[in-house]
Amino acid sequence: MKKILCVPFDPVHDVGIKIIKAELDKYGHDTKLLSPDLTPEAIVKIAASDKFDFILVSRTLGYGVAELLARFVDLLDAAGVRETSKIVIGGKPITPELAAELGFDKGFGANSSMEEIVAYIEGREITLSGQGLNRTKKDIASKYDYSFNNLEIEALLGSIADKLIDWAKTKSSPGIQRAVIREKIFNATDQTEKDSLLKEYYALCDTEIINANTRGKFIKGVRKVTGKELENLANFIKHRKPVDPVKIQHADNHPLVFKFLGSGCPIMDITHAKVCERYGIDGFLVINPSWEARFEGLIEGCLTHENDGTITSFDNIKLLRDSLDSSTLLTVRAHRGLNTPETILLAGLAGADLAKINLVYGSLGAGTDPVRLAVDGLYAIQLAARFNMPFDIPGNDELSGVPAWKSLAGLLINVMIGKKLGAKPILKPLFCYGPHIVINGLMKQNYIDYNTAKILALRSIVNSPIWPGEPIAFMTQSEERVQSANANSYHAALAAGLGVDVITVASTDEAYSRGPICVTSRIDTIRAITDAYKFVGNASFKPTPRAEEFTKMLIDKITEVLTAVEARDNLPGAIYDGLLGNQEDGAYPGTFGAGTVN
Amino acid sequence: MKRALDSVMDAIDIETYLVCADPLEGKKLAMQLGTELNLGEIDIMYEEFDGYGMRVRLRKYIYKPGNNYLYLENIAPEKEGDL
Amino acid sequence: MKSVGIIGTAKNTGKTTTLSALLRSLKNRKIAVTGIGYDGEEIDNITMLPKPRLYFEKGIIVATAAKCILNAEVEYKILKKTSIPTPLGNVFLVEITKPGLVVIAGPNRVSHLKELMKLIAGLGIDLLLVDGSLNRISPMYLLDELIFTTGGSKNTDIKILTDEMVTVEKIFSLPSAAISPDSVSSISFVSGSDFIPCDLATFIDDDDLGILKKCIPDRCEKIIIPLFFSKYALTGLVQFLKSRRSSVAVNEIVLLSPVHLLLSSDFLRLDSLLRLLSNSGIKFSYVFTPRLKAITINPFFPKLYNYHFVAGYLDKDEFLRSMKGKLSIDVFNVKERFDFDF
Repeated sequence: MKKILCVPFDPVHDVGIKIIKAELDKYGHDTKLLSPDLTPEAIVKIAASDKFDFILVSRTLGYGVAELLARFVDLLDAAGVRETSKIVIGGKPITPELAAELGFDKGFGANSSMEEIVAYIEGREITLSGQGLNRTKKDIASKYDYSFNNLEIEALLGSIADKLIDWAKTKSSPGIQRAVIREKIFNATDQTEKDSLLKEYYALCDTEIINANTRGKFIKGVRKVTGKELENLANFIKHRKPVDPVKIQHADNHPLVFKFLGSGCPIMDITHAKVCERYGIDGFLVINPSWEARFEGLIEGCLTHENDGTITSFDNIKLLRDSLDSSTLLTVRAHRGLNTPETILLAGLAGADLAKINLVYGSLGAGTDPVRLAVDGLYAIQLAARFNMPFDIPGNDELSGVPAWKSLAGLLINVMIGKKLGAKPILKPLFCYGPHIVINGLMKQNYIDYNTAKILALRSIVNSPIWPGEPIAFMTQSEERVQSANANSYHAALAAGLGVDVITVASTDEAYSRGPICVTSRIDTIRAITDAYKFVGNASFKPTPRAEEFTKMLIDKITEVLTAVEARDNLPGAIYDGLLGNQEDGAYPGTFGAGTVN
Repeated sequence: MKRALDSVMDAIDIETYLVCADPLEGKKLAMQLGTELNLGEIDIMYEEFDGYGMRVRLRKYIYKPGNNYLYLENIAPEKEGDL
Repeated sequence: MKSVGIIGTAKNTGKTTTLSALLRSLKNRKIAVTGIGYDGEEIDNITMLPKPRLYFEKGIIVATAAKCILNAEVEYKILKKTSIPTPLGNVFLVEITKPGLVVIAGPNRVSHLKELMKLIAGLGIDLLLVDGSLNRISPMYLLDELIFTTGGSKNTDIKILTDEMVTVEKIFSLPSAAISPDSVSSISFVSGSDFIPCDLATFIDDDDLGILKKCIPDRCEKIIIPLFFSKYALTGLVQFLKSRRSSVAVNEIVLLSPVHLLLSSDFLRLDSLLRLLSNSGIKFSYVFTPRLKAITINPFFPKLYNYHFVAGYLDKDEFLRSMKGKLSIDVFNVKERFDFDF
C-alpha cells in the first residue's frame, strides 16, 4: 500500500486527478486529495508534514505554466520532500521529455493508461506478451456445437448435404488433383520426386501459370519481391514495436474486428497490418486478385501485384502469417475460382487460421461453375477440417439483387455440409445496403431492423458463430471520410449489441475505387469502432416491431428455399435452377471450370 | 490568375501517416512536411505515435480572424448581363 | 573540480546559447556537462519554435539520460551507468568519441546532483558545467559559480528585468556564514558553541513561525535556517526579532544559500524583503555561497500572434545599457560573442 498525495495544481480542472485518486483507492492505496486553490507553499507544507511515497500533480499546460510548475518542483526539493517522495506530473500534453524539463520523476500524458499509472505506483513493470500486444489468439468457433433449434430446417439441410456429399463421392477435378499433388510435393524429401510431381502439377495448369512458375514470365503487373525488400520489411518488424497498443473491445463479449488486406503488395499489406494490430485489429482477411480464380494453377513465390488483390501463394501467405503477431488471426479467401482446394491446403500449410468457402456464392456471384465449385468446395471443407481452420461463409446479396433469405439459405447449406464433414463453419450474413434491400425499401426507415432480423433468424435456426461482413456498412459509405467512419461505427455498435462473434470492417476509402487503400483510412474506421464499442458497452439498439416481422419472414422464406433445393437432385442442380439466386435477382451461374469435373 | 490557396476559406488540413522511429522524429518530419509542400509553418493538430509511425493531422491556416479574405473580393458579377 | 551552473529566470532566456558559448570557449579544458532538466532539443515542447542545439566536441564527458544518449548523433564510450533516475531513463556518464549533437537530461534534485558531482570529480575533471532547466534553481546552490540568464521571455519591460537582476546581485552579495554544511541539518539556535535544534520540517506559515518563536532560547545569537522558508515566515521572524531587540539577542540569521532566498518569493517582492533585512540590524549570511559570475541577456521572446508563437525582440542595446548601468558584475548579450574566464 502506498501513501499518495494528489495535487490538482489547476484552479479549475481537477477531474483528472480525482479519477486517478478513485482508481488508486480501489487498489487499496492511501490517497489524500488537496483542494485546487492552495498556494504552492501550502502544498509544500502538507507534503513535508507526512512521508508520502508519491506526490501526483495534475495541471494543464500553457505558456507561463511551465515556470509555475518548475518553481513548485524547486520548493519540494528545497523542502527535502524529494528525499522521500517521488513527484509525478500528469496532464494531456505531458511527455517524458516535458516531465524531465519540468524536473519531475515521471510524467503521464494523454496516452497513459490507468494500468500504467497504477503499475508505476506499485513499482511493477507492465509485461507485454506477443510482441507487445498483450493478448491471446481467440478461437471463434470453440463455444458452438452447431446444434439446430429449427428441426424442419435441420432436416432439409441434412438431406441437401447428404445428397451433395454422396453425389460428389465419385467426382474429382483438376483443382483437387493439384491440391493432392501439391501436398505430396510439400511432403517429398527427394528433389527427383519433387520434380516429377511438379511435372504432374503443371500438366493440370494453364499456360500462364506454367510460364510464370518455370520461366518467370509473369502476368502483367506481377513481379517477385526482391531479397532487399524482404530484408527491409524484416528490419521494420524487428526494430519497431507497437507503442501503447489499443484494445478495441470495451466489454469482454464485444465482437472481434477483422480487416481486409489485399493491396496487391504483401509488403504494403504487412506494414499496414502492423499498424492496424497496434490499433487493436484482431485479424485480417487476405483478398486475392480476381484473375487468380480464372486460371488453373497457382503462381509460386513471394510476389507483388500492382493492382487490387494480393496473390495467395504459399510464400505470400507464410510471409503474412510470420509477420503478424502470434495473437492475430489470418483468413485466406478461397470461396471462388478454380483453385479452392489448393488455396486451402497452402493456407493450412502456411499457418493461416481461417478460410473463406462458400459453394453457393462462388458459383453465383463470382463466376465459378457450380458443379466444379461444389466438388472443389467439399474437398476444401475437408481440408479446412483437417487443418482445424474454421471457415466463414459470406453471403452473396451485397452487389446482386439476391434477396437475403436466398443468401442465408445458401449459408445454412454450407454450415450443414461443414458440420457433416467435421469442419467449423461460421455464418457471415451481410450488414449491407444491398440492391434487393434498396429496391424493396427494407432499410428505408432504419438500418437496425433488417440487419437485426438476419441475426435473430439465423440464431433461431442454428447454434453457430456469426460474423457479419463483408464488410459491415457496405454500400452505406461514401468517399466522405467522416460519414464513412460514422457508418462503420453505427453498424459496429449494432453488431456489438446483437452479441455477434466477429465483424469485418473496411476503411474510409471503401467507396473510393481509383486507388489503393491508405493506412490513415484504415485507422479512421478502427478508431470509429473503438469509440462505438465504448458508447454501446453492454447496451444495445432497440429495434422496432418490424424486426420481429422481418425475422419471421426470413425464417419462412429460408424454409421455402430449402424445401425447393431439397427437392432437386443435388446442390449444383438447384443453383442452375436459380433457387438460390436467379437471373432476375442478378445472379448467374458461373462458367469457369465448366466441364472439368471428372 | 486567381490562386487556389486564396480560395481556401480558412485552412488546409493534411491527414497522413509518417513512418518514424519515435515521437520526436515524427514531430520533426511533420514540421518538415509543411516546408516541403511549400506551405511554410504548419500546426500539428493531432499526433499519435504508435511504434511504427505517427498519425498526424496538420493544419495550415490560410486565413485567420481579422485577415483580409480574398475570396470575398470580386464576388459580385462584373456586369448585369452576367446574371 | 570547479563547478559552474547556468540558471534561467524563465524559458527561452538563453541558457542553451550560453552553455554553447561556454563549450566553445573551453575547448582545451577537461570538462564535463550535465543538466538538471531537459535541454538541447530541436523544437520547443510548448511553443513549437526551433531551439538552439548543444554540440559536443570529442573528449567532453556528458552525463545525460539513457534515452538521450542512445538516440544522439554522436559516438561515445560509456564510462558508467549510474542509478540516478530521470523520466528518460537512468543517467549515463559517457565520453564523446566523435562530436555531435546531444540532448542533456540529468539529475533533477539536490541529492542526485550531489551524487553525480562526486562521480564526476573522481574522473579528473577540471570543470563541470551544469545546465539549468526552465527557471529551476534548487540544486544549483551546490555549485561554485552561477551564471544567470534573463530576457524578454521573463518580461518585456527592460526596467523590470534590470531591477530583478539588481535584486539577484544583492542577494548573492551577502556573506558566508563560515559554518560547515555537515554541521546543520535542521533549524538550529546557536548560543556560544551550543547548537540547539528546533523540530520544524519547513518554515512557511504562521504555525511554523509560532513554533519557532516559542523555541528561541535566551542568549541565542544566531538562528540557522538550513531548509526551505517562505518570504512570509522570514519577514515575520525578522519583524519579531526587531520588536524584541531588548530581550532577544539574535544578531545573525544564517540561510542555506542565496538560492533558497531566491526561492522564498518572486524577484520583485524579494526587493522589499532585502530592504527589511538590511534595515533590521541583523546580519544575514549563507552556509553555501556560490558566486554570481555573470548575467547573460536574451532580447528574444516568443510572442503570441494570431494563435501562434512568433519571434519578438527587445531593443538589445537599450537592454544591455540598462543592465550594465546598474550591475557591477559582467553582463553579456547571449546573441553576441563573449568569452568567460574560468
